[in-house]
This record gives sequence, structure tokens and C-alpha cells, in this order.
Amino acid sequence: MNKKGIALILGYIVVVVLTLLGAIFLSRSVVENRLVARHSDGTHAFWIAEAGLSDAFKNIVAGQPLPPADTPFGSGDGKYTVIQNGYQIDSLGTFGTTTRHIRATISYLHPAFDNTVTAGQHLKLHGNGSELIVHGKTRLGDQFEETCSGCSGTFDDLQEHQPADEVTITIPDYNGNGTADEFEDFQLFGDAVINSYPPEEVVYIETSGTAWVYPSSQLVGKKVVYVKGPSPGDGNVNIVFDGTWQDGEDLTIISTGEVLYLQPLGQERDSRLSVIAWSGYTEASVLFNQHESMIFSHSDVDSTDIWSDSSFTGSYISNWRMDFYEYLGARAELTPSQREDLPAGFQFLSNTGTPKLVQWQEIVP
Amino acid sequence: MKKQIIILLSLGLLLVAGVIFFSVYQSSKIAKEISREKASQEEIVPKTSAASVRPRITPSRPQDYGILVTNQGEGPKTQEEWDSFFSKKIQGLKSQSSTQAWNNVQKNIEKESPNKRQENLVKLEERIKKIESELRKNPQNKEAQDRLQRLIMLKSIAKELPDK
Repeated sequence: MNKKGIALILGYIVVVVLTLLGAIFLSRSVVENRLVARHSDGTHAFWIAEAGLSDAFKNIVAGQPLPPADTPFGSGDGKYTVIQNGYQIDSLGTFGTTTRHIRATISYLHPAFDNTVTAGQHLKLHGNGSELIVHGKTRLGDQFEETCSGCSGTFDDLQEHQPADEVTITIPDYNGNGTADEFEDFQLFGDAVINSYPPEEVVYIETSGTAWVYPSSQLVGKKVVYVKGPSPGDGNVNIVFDGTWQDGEDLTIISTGEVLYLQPLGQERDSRLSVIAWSGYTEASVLFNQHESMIFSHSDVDSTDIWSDSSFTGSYISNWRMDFYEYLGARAELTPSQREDLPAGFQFLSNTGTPKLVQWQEIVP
Repeated sequence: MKKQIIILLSLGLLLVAGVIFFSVYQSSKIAKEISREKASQEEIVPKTSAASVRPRITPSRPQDYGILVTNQGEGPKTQEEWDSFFSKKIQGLKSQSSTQAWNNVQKNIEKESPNKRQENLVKLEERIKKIESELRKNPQNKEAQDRLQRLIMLKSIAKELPDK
């Protein structure tokens, strides 16, 4: 072994090390390039998907069909496909080999949501000496009637004999059998509502009897109480006073039966207790009655046995008739809500009216 | 001389090992970057997502939410039964954490004219008797039956509400 031999070995080592280093840096640079390209493609694909969503929503508002599948975008390198399934719009943007998926929820703002009182048929005031004052809009399929002496109805904006589709809400065809507004559609509507909220915000009760709801701290933070019965008129709910007696609560009670609201006392700041009922809604109170609610009954709405003055904020919507009776010398003042947001569940109640994008999310596979 | 060769070879091997460690470290950094990118995509998925979040609906236990369920045909019927039914629950509401809320109820009642509760209780009693008489004539009158139940319930509630 001499010095030349050592130099050869050292040379080999240096060459091997340099080759390894070169290979590593080459590999890193390839991976990083791929990452950059993927990130760039992903960003492009995301904005393309959002463009598809915007395009679809624009067409829905205009009553036009959705854009065709694989609609090219920009210089044509990207494309989007939009699918609408009920209240959902799915937009898939593709750029290069990357596809990103955005899902948006739309709700239809039925004109009734904007009224203080809406009835598919008449609005009647019974009860001698009673006084009904309605601020905001009143829209009736039939007309306002007073069947009492010394009673009076005062309206800021009353329009009678309105078209049925503006004063009634048809439950969408949730079971997909081609016929909307069936009891099963209503049951499935309730299912869809509770499935759209995290389980911790929902109370779901199956019963053919009656559920009694009292103010309860365990209902704080809940969005929906759904009481489901097997047939129309089952699954009644009786509400006493309020749902929580807490500020800022916004609870909707959905019932496949009738809802009876006894002595409403919902007076907390920014709180709302709303009702969606298949078989009717009745309100009764013996002392001063005050609440903010959005009430929808697929059947009648009765504000009955009101033995003292009442102050209501929100909307009463009845697909049939609405009666204010046994108002014994009492004064009822109805005022539209100042809130812009719909109570839980109402966004799934109608598929007619003005569409509104209420939320969007990216679907990650 | 042999020693020098061994030292050089060892140094070379150490260098190769260092390079390998460095490359592994870099790869793990890249892997972390990829997983972080994925995680950030997952973060933008809101909790209130669609039906896929909970494919099956599980019924809740009503009692966990202070909700009482009475079966059809069961539950109170007479005034005494209704009084007892509401009394327990409302006494519970008065004593629980909702005391402040109950104070608000009292404030609300103060909006009433004095003795309104007593006046309305008398009127309720009169109305109940009138409907009972109607029902004796026509026991099948469903509307009157419902009305009677409602008035009895209101009377029980009114008994528990405070006076001004």
C-alpha cells in the first residue's frame, strides 16, 4: 500500500458522498416542486370551484338551469361541475390533477317569513272589547273579520285575498315520491333539520303522546327540539313559560302534532323560541304574555283564551285560518322581528321564495 | 499507514451517515408539511356540516332536558290533578338556578294592574263552569273538551304565579 492507493480510496469516498448528496438534493427538489405544484393547482381548483358555486347561485336566483358539467374556466385550463340536491349545491373545481369540492347550503326565503301575520285563509278577531294591533305586514288568503262588539283590528299594512303560494308554505317533497306537502315529507323535513346540526345542539324525541317543555338549563345552547309521532296529530308539545329563561337563546320546537304554548314569558334579551307544527298551534295565557317567536303551523294558528295584554315579536304563519279569540278585553300588539337570521329549521321549510346562500364548506375526502 | 486508512474510512462512513440522517430529517420535515397542509384543509370544514355528520338519528332521553312525556290517555284530567302536576314543576323552577328568571317573571307580572291574577282566576272559574255545562249537553264536543282542559291548565298555572 502506498500514498497513491490512499488517494484513490479517498477519491472514491468523495465521489460516493457527492453522488449521495446530489441524489438527495435532487430528490428534495423534485418533492418540493411537486408540493408547490400541488399547492398551486389546489388553490386554482378551489377558486374554480368557488366560481362554479357563484355561477350556480346566480342561475338559481335568475331561475335558470345550472351550468353544464365540466364548464371551462378562465383560459380553459380548469373546469367546474355543479350539482344541486335540494338545498345543497356541490361545486367541484378541477385544475391540473387536483380537484376541490365546495358545498353550499341555500335557503329559500318564503315571502311569509317577512310578514308579521300570514294566514292561508281568514284572520278573525273574537272577544268583546279586545284590540289587535299588527305592525309590519299582514297577508291573508281570505280576509280579516271582526266577530265581536267593541273590538278593533289595526294594521300597518293589510293585504287580503293574496295568492295561495304567497300565504301558505308547502313542505318540499322530501320523500321524493313526486308529491309535496305530505305528512311523511314533514317527518323527513324534521329529520333533515336535526341532521343538519351537531348532535349536542339537538333533542330528538319519538312519542305518540305529549312532550312537556319547561324552562330548563339543560336546554341552553340547544337549537332544535324535534318531537316526532308516527302519524299526524301524534307527538304533541306543550310549552310552559319558555324554553330556557336565558339571554341569547334561539330554540325551535318541531312537532308532528299540535303545539300548545301556555303563558309565554320569554322575555330574555335576544332570545327566541320558535315553533314548526304539523297539526296546529295554540297560545293561551292568563297574565301578561310576551315572547319573540317565529310560528309556523301547517294547520291553524289560534291565539285563544288570552286573559290579559300580550306583546308578540316575530311572525305568525298559518297555512289555514288564524283566530284571535276569547281576548277578554285584552290588547294584543304584534311587531315584526328586527332579527335578520331565520330560526333553526325554517331554512329547510320551503323551496320557493328568494334563494339565499346561508353557509358553505369545503368537503375534504 | 493502516491506521490512517481506517481513520479515513471511518470519517467517510460518518460523513455518509450524517448525510443519510440529514436526508431523513428533511424528508420528515416534508412529510410534516404535507400533513399540516391536509390538517389545515380539515380545519375549514365547519362542524355544522350536512347529513353525513350523523347518518343515524338517535332518540334522546327527554328527562335529560327537563322534558316530561305523557302518553296518550294518560296524565292529569281533573283540576286537582292539574294543580298537583303544575305545582311540583313550578315550585321546582322557583327554587332552581332559574331564581333570577323567576324574579323576571315577577317583574313582568308587575306590568299588570293590581290583583289581575285574582280577577282572572274568578273569571276563569266562571268560564270553566260555563263550558262544563255545555259539555253536559253535548259531551262529544271536542272543541269544548280541549277548551276546558286549556282553561283548567291556565287556572293551575295562575295559582302558582305571583300577585303584583
